[in-house]
Amino acid sequence: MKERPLYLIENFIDHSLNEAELRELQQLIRKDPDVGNALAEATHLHGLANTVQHEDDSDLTKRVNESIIDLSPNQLEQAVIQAIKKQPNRRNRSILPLWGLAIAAQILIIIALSLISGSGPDDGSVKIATVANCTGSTFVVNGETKKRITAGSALNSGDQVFVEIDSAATIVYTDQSELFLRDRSYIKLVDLDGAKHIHLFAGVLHGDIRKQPKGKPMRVHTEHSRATVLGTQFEINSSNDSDLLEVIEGSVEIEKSDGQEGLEVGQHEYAVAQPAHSIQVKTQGVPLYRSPLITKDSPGQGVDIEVDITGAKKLYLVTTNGGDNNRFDHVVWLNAKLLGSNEYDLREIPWGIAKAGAHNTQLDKGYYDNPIQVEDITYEHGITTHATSVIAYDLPQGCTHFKATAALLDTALAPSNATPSVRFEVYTELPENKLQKLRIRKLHY
Amino acid sequence: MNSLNETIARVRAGKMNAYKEIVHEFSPMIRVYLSGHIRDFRDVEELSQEIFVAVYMNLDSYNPDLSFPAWLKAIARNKLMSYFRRHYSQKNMTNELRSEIIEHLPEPELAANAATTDVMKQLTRCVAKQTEEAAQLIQARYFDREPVMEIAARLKTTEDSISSKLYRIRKQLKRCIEGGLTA
Repeated sequence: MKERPLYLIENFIDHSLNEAELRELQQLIRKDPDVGNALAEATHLHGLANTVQHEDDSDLTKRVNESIIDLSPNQLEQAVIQAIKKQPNRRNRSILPLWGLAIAAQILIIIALSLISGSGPDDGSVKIATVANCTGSTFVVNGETKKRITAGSALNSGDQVFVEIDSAATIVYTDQSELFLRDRSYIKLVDLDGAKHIHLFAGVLHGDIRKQPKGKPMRVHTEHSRATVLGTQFEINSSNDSDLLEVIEGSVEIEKSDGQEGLEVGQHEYAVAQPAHSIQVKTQGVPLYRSPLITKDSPGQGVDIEVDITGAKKLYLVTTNGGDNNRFDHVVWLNAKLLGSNEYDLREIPWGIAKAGAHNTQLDKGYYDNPIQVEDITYEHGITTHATSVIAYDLPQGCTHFKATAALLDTALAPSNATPSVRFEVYTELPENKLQKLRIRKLHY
Repeated sequence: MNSLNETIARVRAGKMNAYKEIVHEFSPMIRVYLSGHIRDFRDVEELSQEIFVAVYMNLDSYNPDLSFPAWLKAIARNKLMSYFRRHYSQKNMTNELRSEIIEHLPEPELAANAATTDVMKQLTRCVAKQTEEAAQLIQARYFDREPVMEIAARLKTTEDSISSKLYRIRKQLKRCIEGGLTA
């Protein structure tokens, strides 16, 4: 087969054909059945490979079975709430059939504690929040209904919100409490007698929460923990590996799903919840330096950094993903030096940790083995990495300053639809919460 | 599994648990089909669930004289088109053209002639038999889902060259899989 149809087939699969090329491919398929067969085989092979990788992850049969049971999940939840409130002693009486109770048990695990203080039914059709804005692809599921949401969409109790890849959403409750969801985040909102409950299935949830009514704290439930929020700014990263709760302002009480006693996490503290480990509360690392947000529009695509590190024994160079996602966040630390009693080129000092959000941290190489280039200027030397990244060094004695230029590589800007954004940070204490976040999000990805 | 028509009859008679057998039997076929066009596996799982719920709801309209897999595939194709309309809400010709192309694609020979789970097993075996260069390309393209443009940039070659190599690799894999299925 000729090269042109094969080129079009591969780029069709990559969603990178424009309208004229799609028409060309369509014409080729009509004229030559072999082209259609080749495209069908190519997509089939993609499908086989993808399914082989996820063969063990699927509980599709179980989920389908639960879906086809008569009541929708939201109605079932309401029925369970009513049943429990009417029947405080359920030993001898069961309102729901056994199959309904089996499913209700799963929901009860999540909401049981908060039902004790509830009074009065929750009407699932009552609006509890609004989508303030959203980018990319975001949709809401309630029962079997699924629809895309946009700015201004109303959200009701029981709604499950899905924020897909390269997307984000901000949700505002009626009391002006705000939730910000990063890409690949999935939550369910439940309002029980005025108490806000959020089930964070996976992803990153940032909350800026007004003071909640007495006796009705906001709760965030994940696979590993439950956090009780009184009126606070916080962020929770969650995946099947673990949760990381960071409190920016106020305080949050966190307890593990296995019933471990709750601990309070205060301002500038963080806690990690993971299976088979106790929760520990620690102080968030404070960077000695934090850059402004660097994007393709930043002068020089980067920033000059000079930091006093007198007395430090360790140096940690952190590149964060700018708060959206880490796609195309390729960066370089140029002319990185340690100054003091001696001058050291940082490239000559072996790193102890070199974590990157994608690909690897490298010396003197750009991405895809291209040279290091920033604004079309080629550099022979530099430390390249991909956000979110942590690179750690043991410092020689006598260092007083760290100096470097940190910038986005030109490869980050190469695709026309790339929107890289990063921040550069310098620490002299281990930024453990950054490493933990990297672990959770990498596993989540 | 009991004969398919018997299982369908049991489901129609109200034996909901019998439907699990149908889902278990045909979910690999549906997941492979969807995964060829949808990159995010979470979306594949969700859409698969939607499809099997729709099949259950419409089981009364299934004509047992027709091929069940073909009927199921038709429902899946409609759901896939709806998915594209939901997820690509910009009304532009690009998305319409993509949908038209996918809608009229023929059934791949391997999918038509063998059970999906058998093909998947053979795929794993056949990938292991490839040369190192081919295996690396297979890993990058089909398992890591690296775009052709990035593979070409990384290997410092042209997209045409990579596209041609992938075509030859697919032919080799198909021959190997067919050989394994008939052995």
